[in-house]
Amino acid sequence: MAGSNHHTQRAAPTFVQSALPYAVFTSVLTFAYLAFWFKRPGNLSVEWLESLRAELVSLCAGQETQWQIALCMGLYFVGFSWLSHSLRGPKPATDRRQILIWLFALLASFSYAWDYPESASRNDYLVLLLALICSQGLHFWRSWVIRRSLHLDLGGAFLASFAIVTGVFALFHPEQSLKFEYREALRWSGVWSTPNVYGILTASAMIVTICRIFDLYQTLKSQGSSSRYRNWISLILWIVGFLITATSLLMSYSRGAWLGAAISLAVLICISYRRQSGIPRGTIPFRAAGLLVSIAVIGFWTLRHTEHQILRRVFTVVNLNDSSWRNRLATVPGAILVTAERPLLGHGWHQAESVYTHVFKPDHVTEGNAVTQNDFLMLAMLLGLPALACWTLWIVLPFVDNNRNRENHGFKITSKSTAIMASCPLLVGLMFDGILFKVATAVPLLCILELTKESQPDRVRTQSES
Amino acid sequence: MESRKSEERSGSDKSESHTHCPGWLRQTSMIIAAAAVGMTLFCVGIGYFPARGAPGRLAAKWLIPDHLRSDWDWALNEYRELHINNRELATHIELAGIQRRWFFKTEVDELHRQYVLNPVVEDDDDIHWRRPLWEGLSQLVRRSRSNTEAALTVRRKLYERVSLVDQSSDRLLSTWNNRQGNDRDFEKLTVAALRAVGIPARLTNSLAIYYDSEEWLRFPDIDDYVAVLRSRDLATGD
Repeated sequence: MAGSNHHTQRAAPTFVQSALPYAVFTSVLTFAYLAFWFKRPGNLSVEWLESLRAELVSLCAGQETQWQIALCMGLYFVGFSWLSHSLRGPKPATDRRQILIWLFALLASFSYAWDYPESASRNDYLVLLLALICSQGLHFWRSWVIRRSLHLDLGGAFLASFAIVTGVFALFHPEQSLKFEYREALRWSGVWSTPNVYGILTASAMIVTICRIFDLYQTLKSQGSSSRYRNWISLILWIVGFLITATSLLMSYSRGAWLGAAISLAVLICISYRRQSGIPRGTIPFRAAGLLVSIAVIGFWTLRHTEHQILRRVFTVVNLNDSSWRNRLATVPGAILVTAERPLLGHGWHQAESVYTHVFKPDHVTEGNAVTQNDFLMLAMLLGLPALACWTLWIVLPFVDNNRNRENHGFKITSKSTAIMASCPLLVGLMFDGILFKVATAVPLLCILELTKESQPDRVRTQSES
Repeated sequence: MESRKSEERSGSDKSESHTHCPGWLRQTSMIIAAAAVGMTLFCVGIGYFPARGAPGRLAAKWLIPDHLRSDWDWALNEYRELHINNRELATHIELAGIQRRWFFKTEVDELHRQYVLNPVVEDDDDIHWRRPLWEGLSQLVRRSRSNTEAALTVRRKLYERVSLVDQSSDRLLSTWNNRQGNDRDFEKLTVAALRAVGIPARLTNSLAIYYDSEEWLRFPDIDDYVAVLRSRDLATGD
């Protein structure tokens, strides 16, 4: 039968087929990470690069030209989606996630086109579209690999590339005009716009390195002498990567990134313990979680006035005198009111923030851009509740399906489980740091979220059908 | 019968695996959880005791950072007749300390304590004004380059918020919450607002004055000071 042939006979990829994913992913991520740096004038020392940069920026920013770029990008999105769909066979099962992302993209594009002069004053739509194209391209490539029955882990390749590229970029700290400090301690921001973006990316990369280390360790335990040497070298390199990303995460002083990393580690520990020992939910993991929470509470009451920077930063999460999280919280009522004004289609790509700032912003919040830190609120205001629902379901569905289809025999780190854990810091960033409309975070975010869903092989076309 | 016995055995095995948890983990988690709950109840509860005597000294250890302890001891001594609890006094100490440490450094301790930390504004017995005014005004003056600039910004904000009427609002915070009060209420609110953002202020002849560069300054008349602010805004491009 074609289906059983598909599962049992997977062709070994050629060298080019193996190396190409790494090359492509590294290039895409490098471009995404350098986008912020390229956007600012004067950062490029080479003249022709600087003029190219100026041209690109004016193309994207100009009302006369932006629609052309948006149209070309839209064609790529449609093309990748259609090709993925065609690879799934003559009668594919319903892919709910694809339907949701299509609806979301449609609503976003409709809003963009409806009030184009206002929408074209910002690049948010282009950034979102770029990230959607990258995720659909990844989706298409995975479908193609399954169609060709290749033994190729594209998800693993992307995550490894992401961790390596992020780790390398985390080491660079060029001079920036805006310095961020926490109580006179410099917060690292690297080549990115803010320390929070730096923290979120390094947190996700750190989780990937931890998963890789865990996986290699298990492989070394179970393997014979063949290729042990190569695996040991890999393990050491991944440990170095972990040290780099962990240090970068700490020095970012980003509480959102720390929270996301903590959630990811908690998920990893709970799942691995439960699956390895076979003990069901409700016993040791909950006891251990309760113990940790109690220790955190005691630590809070005894250490909240400490002068140690990192500990103090951790405990400012519940500090009433800290204005940053209070400002973020203060934006919620106003954002809900803005959404309630136009719940179905939103205010469009440019109006929402100005409506909030001029009409609904609380008096005591001096900066109106606190509302832009929550992407869910922004999507609700910009595009309306249906778009927000599509987006939220698209994110949540793989987590729900993963929980439902949980298998309880041993624990192996797969690309899907790594992606789920690596997405936690990014999801926290969606709620508190406004990462959806920044190229550096939107591209890895959507690609990693794409990997949280298992790429399901549909019925492969037989030769007679094709 | 054998199949039933094996079913019962596997059932009891399952129930054991559901409840299995090492004894040390269970006991440790219970002890630590009890300690956490007890500590939380203590640290929250001590705040509601009056700020004097033994409760005041205990509160100093748990509610106040080390570098503000001297302010706390001074306040305990100074306001022992005042009806204020530990939590409210700690709010005054902490917020005044934040503004002094990071924004408006009042060098002289006595000046800071009498005219910034002091929760009593003239004869008003409302002492719960610090947090609402701090939350409402501190961010407006974060980037002010001098006490005068911050004081004028606060004054302008109060003019925008509060309508001047003939009737007095009974309490200081009522003027802020209800957005109206008479002249005297407005001056008292100005003093409280300036203290909330860390600028020494007091009432003299029923008028609010503030401290900057080693002297006490009056606010200019409204027309003059709007002109001052307008010229400053033009200079900075705001």
